[in-house]
Amino acid sequence: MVYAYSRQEPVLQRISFSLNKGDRVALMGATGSGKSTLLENLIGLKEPQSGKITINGIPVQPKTLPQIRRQIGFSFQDANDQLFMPTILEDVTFGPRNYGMSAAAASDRARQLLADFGLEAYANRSAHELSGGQRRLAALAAILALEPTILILDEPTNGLDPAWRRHLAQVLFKLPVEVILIASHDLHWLGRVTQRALVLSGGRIQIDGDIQPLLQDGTTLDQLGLPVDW
Amino acid sequence: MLNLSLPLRLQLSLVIVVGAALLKHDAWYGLSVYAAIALLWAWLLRAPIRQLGGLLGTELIFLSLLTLPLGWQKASFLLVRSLICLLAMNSFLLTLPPHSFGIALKSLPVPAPIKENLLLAGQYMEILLSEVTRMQRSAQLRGLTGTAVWLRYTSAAMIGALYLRSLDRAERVYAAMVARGYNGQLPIDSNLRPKERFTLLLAWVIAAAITVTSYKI
Amino acid sequence: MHIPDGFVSVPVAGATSLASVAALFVALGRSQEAFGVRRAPLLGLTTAFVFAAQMINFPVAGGTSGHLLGGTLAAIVLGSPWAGMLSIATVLIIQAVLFADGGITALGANILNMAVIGVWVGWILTQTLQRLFGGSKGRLPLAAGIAAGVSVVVAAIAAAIELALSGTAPVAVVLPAMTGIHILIGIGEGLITGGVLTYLATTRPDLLPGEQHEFRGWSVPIVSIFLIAGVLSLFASAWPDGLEKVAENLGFINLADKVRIIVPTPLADYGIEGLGAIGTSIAGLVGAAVCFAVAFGIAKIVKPKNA
Repeated sequence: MVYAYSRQEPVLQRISFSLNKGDRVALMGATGSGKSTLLENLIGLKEPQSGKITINGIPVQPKTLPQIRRQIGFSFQDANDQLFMPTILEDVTFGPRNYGMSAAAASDRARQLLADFGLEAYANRSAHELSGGQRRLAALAAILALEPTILILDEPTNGLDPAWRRHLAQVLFKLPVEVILIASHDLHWLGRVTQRALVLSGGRIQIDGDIQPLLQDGTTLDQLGLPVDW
Repeated sequence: MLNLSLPLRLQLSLVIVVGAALLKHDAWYGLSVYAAIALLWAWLLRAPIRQLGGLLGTELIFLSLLTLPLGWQKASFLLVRSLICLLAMNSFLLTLPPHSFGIALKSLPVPAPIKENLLLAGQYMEILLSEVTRMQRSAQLRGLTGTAVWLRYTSAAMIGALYLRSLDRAERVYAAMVARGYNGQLPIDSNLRPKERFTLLLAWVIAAAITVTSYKI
Repeated sequence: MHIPDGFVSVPVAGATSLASVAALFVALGRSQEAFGVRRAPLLGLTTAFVFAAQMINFPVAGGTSGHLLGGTLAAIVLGSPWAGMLSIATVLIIQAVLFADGGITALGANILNMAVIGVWVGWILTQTLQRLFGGSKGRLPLAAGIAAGVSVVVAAIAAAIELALSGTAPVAVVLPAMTGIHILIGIGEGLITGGVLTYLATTRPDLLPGEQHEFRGWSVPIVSIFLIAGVLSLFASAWPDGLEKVAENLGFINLADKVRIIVPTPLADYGIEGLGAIGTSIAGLVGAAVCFAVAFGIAKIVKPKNA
């Protein structure tokens, strides 16, 4: 369970929400509304000026960061920034090895994950040989290697064609994680993958509710900086 | 033909280069042994002859200019020795699969912090090089011509912009690393299998024998 | 100036490798303190940047173009000559191993010349010149540009000395040749470094080092004289000066030889035997140091007690 209450730097003010097991949540907002900043607060890359964030009962503080980061799988916008080891296999074993898993065990787990994503042929090859969609999946595998309970994805469909977007959605449906939080502009895709929406505008959460009714409400979306019909 | 792993190929090339480079001056016998080894190596790796010839030819011209003032006898030994080293190294490089800079650098026998730097640099070199190409192409498509002062200004701006982008990327990579538990040490393995380690040891012993003998004769 | 394999003798390769390893060892420690966990990504990306930046052609003069070497620039943007050293050393290792540019056995020498000497000369000279020019942030590009150019020449001289000591090139040929060529390359390096720093100063001034204390009072002439003695004399003309020229013309220069007391002092004729231009520089620096020491000593003795 994620619970957050914070009054933060001018970008974000008086943010308060909680996520529970089973939630599939969309974080929406116009460019510059502070989605990435909010997400970075959740894994301790930025600190709020006031308020607190708790992940599964553990407060997010400098000394608890290793524990927090083990429970949260965070996917950044650019897959290239997350694939920094010479081979894909090493990218996937990177997380578990940092937390003390042996090379052999990490390797087994990594191969299994890559096989699940259809990337086992690329295990000993460089990320540069993969297409954009494949890199996105490889980065996802690298994050899932730590078996996180919470998955946070920042703009996961950036640069993906429709077929890959569908493939990613199918992968997400099958994942054994408790909570998924996705920040994205891809409203149609979000409608297929999430049930609940948090909308950021003017530094605050303006809407916290079911996503389907919201996606039908063109006027509200327009007011929040997310025009769908024009 | 030869199905050696990339790390082993790199290490064996290094053995030939180091062994030949450290030969005693004027040890023509030892040099001819290394010449044979280097040629065999080029053949085993199936190095493309035309490209190899081109590369070595250019080096030959440059190096001869450097050494000719020493007199023909001294210069010829230096030249042949250098060419043998280049032959061994370029045979490896010309048969390197694409996108494998990081994989090749992984096996270098250097201390961990330097290896970390090598790997990350090797990994992001490709991306930054493609950014440079795109910047230059974009500039050309916008009609980049003019005085030398203007061209210098735009080149400096491109390099400066590249730096700022690299810095931003460095921050993002750092964030991605710590999000997966990075604590200051990249988990890198030495990746030669036992059989490969033995082959490498054998190669070092042979090279040492040839090179050291050149000093005793 | 990448020295290829087989061009440094075993003793020179050994000595330069030891020096490089020691320097890198210290650099690793210092940069760990400075950057902590951020070191690997920051240094890695900066190294990749230097590599990529070297691919950009930069017009130097009259249709020729050069490219960045990057030692001084790396040290300044990273804010640390130690980190700059590591960056350039990594670039050199990659060039030697993946591009056969520079020998494997010559890595010790190449790292010493370009990553250690080049970076440090550039760094120290940048700070010195910036202070000499008034210390403000705006003077950094000019100071760094000049420093970068000079550092290239100094690195080239070091390479020439190593080649001469290895017996693979005669000193009388390689020293002037390397120096001459690298003066041109140095000009390019200076222009690029200055240009890039000007760009960064305009777009992201927060990234560059801040102001320096200005040199005041007597420091200014002292530092200037050291710089002139050391650096400018590298380029000083070898033409005989006025009196000597006249003496040559009128034939009485030989008299001087007959009368000269034959006690060859080490710095006779403003040079060190066999070392050409750098000999003049070293002689200049030593001479200036001796003069200042004497002047300082005299001032101490002569100074009125109440001053």
